[in-house]
Amino acid sequence: MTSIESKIKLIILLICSIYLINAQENLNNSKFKQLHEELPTPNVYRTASGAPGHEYYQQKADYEISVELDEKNHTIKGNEIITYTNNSPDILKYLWVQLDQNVRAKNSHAQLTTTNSMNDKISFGNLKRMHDKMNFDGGFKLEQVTTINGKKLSYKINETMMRINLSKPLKQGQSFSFKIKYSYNINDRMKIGGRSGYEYFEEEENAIYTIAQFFPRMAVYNEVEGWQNKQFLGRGEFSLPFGDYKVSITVPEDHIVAATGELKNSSAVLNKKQIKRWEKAKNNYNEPVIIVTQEEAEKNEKEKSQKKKTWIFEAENVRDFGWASSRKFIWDAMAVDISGKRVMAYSYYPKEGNPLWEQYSTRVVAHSLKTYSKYTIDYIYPQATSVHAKWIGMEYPMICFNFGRPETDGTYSERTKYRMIGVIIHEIGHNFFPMIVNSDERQWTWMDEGLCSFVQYLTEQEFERNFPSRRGPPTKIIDYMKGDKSGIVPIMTNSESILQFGNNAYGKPATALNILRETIMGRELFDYAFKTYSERWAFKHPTPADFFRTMEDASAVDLDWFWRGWFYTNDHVDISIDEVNWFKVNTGNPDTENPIAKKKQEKSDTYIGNTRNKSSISKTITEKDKQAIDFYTTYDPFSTNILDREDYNNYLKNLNTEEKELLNSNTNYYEIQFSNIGGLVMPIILEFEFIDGTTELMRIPSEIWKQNSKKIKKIFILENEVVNIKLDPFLETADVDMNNNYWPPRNEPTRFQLFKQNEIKKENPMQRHLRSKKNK
Amino acid sequence: MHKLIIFILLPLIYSLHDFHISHTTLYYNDNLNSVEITVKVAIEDLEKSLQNQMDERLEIGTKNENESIKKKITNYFNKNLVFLINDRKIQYEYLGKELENNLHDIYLYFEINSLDREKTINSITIKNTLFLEKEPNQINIVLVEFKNQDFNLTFTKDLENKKLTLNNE
Repeated sequence: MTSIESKIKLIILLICSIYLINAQENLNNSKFKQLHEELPTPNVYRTASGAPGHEYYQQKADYEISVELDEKNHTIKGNEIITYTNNSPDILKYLWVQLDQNVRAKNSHAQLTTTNSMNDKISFGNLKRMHDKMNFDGGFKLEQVTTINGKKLSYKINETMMRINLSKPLKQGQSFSFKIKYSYNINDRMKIGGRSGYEYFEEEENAIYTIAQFFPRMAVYNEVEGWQNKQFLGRGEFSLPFGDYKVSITVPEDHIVAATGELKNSSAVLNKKQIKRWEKAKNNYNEPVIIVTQEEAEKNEKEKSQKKKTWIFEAENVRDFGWASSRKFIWDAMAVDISGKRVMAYSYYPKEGNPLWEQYSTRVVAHSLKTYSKYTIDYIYPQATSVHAKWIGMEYPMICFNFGRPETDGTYSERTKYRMIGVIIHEIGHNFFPMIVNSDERQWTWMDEGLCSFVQYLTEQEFERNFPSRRGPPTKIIDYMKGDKSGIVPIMTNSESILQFGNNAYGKPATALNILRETIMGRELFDYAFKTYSERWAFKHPTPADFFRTMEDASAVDLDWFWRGWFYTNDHVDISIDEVNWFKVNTGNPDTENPIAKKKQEKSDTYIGNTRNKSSISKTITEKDKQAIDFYTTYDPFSTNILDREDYNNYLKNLNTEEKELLNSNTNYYEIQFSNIGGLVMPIILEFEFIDGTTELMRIPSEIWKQNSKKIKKIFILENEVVNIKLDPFLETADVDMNNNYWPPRNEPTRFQLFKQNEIKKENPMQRHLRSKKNK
Repeated sequence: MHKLIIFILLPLIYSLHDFHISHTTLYYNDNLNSVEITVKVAIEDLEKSLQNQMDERLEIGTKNENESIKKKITNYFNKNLVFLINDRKIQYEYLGKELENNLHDIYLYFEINSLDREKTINSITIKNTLFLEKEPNQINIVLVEFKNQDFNLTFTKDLENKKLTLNNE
């Protein structure tokens, strides 16, 4: 290339880039720009209103599974028959099956893509954990993949996904059944973590098994993703079709098993006493009835039976299946009335969970089912189960694994108690999002975690007044939102790439919904729209657009600006009162206005020279020499003469009654300038305090920013004289800096300064007191 | 290298919690010529890191709280949150702590009040390695407010030090 050529190319490149920059600036960058370009085009499957379209379809995957637990080697052996039904208009040449256990296989992508670095501060614990993870022989070991008649199927495994190659394409309405025989090693949760696994109690040689992702599962096929076969890397959870399950679980004879669905062979696995207690529980809506007592569980612990028993469970229209098994389990139950239908609430826990679990778990399950049903749809499944599992909170249809373990002496801290209640509410809540309203977790964590955390907040506040909720109130998200932007990504980010997972996918969306409910839409409009979304997408697969559209469609509130700001950017809220100007009407009446003007001049600040001259100059020329005086020497510009009055009266004659009233109303006009520093447009909520001590609240919708989202002015017409103005007086917008929210300006004491003021006080004295009384 | 004693292995808690984020605010108080330091951390992270240094079980903010906690916090923070003003290491004092009402977080308060009034502060260097020895994915966020200049910093295992040049005009 000649140098002239390259220079020309460079110039062209430069011109292009300048043009691009200009083009950016010339685009519609309004915060109120409609979301049309971000959301997919509506179609026959998903409508512009956010509802399923007239040709919406979804696939079905039914399972018949039998598994056996080997507690000596901590392994699972399984056989399954999957029946897959193609309801799509498309012809499928192959099926994709998820092998989630492979995330723990040696050299899995999950392990290879985890970034880490060595430094001198790594602890033994972390090092050991790295070794344990690397050495664990995880992953599914497939023995046979065959047709229902035992003919070998052609398949290809790609990491956590397996493609089944069909010999005959599957057309709309057709089903295909196939068999998989497999086994895998169960992970020790305490050593290498995991959503499922076992906790081993060394001194008594027992384990609690909390088992999930224990069988190869069908991937989702739909018009949004085609096959959702994005690899499982460990964080973005699951995407699963609905179906019916028949599951036989073979465990040691003295184990108690909890699972998704309903137990179908109770007489074969429970004794008469237990069945009788269970029957009693089915009619007890007030308190839990214990089915397996602590005494019986402790006896079981010591037995170590070598015999086996098979528990059979069935579940309809679920997207997954989980179970737990241990000889340590205590089991209690109570009935819950959901709109006249009986649902059972169950808890399974070892003696280590008591006294907390016996008192709270099942009660919290019952309360959660009622509250979530109220805000979404009535809980349809026959039961909901909470299983005690140290350290984790993890959800499956009708069953979840929850932490909360008291001390060995039976006492527990306030923290342990409230966080256990919180986690049970949250995980039971997951029955609604994503188990029933079945969003794609592999793609969007916020769609289930955010919505679930939002209703969790409502449920916690209904459980106990001022429940110590972690997420929901706007003030709780401020630390996150005001942080360094390089560590914050928008909510609309794929699950694997989210930074600050909890704040991003749980806290911020939960807060955003709470702000919609309390401030932007109001409770009535919000609740109806939120319920509509749940009703429309119950037992279906919604996408973010379906949620965004439904919330607007059912409420007549244009929320495009809200989704754009809160979900598609990492901006924060910081609105300031820049300046306040006070105006009053000039009545034009010289007898009223002239004295006011005179007073104002007298009050105005005086130059120091003038003050000093008053005494230092004993007499000026005009004071000494009368010849130096003329009209202007003594003229008072604020005096009123007869002509001024005549002019005023003529002016009055030209005014009508209304105009005259306005002229004499004595009204105050406040011109206030606001700046949007944070970037997020939000309503302006103002509290005016008047000179007579009264207050007035004014709520201005966000649309005040519609033409200028950086700086605006507005005039407020008020009868009374204002002494104080507060912006966001009820802490409802997550404004990160309150120091610019006051007129006259005032600096809020920082947390540090508040602490120093109250330094003598011991922390949380009331909470301590309450606990000391409780622990007596 | 000193020996670390491990009592609990770090749990990997899915689905509900991500601890491992700390927020520190450094506020320069012009009137008092002092720096007010507020650190918000997850109680678990603090407990686990302090437990590393001792034999007994810790329960901060509960009735089982250990008496020697103050010393332990001071030691731990002196090692893992270091401030240099004009390139000179500065001592700071631990004032106390306060539980956040969500029962997940705890606020710790420190203060630098040994500043020389005659000397202008031209630079602040921060080294933040809080909890990195237990959790490699720890994120430490620091906000510095110095005479109308705000700095928003993120410290991770790959970035432990940062020097800020301040404008005193």
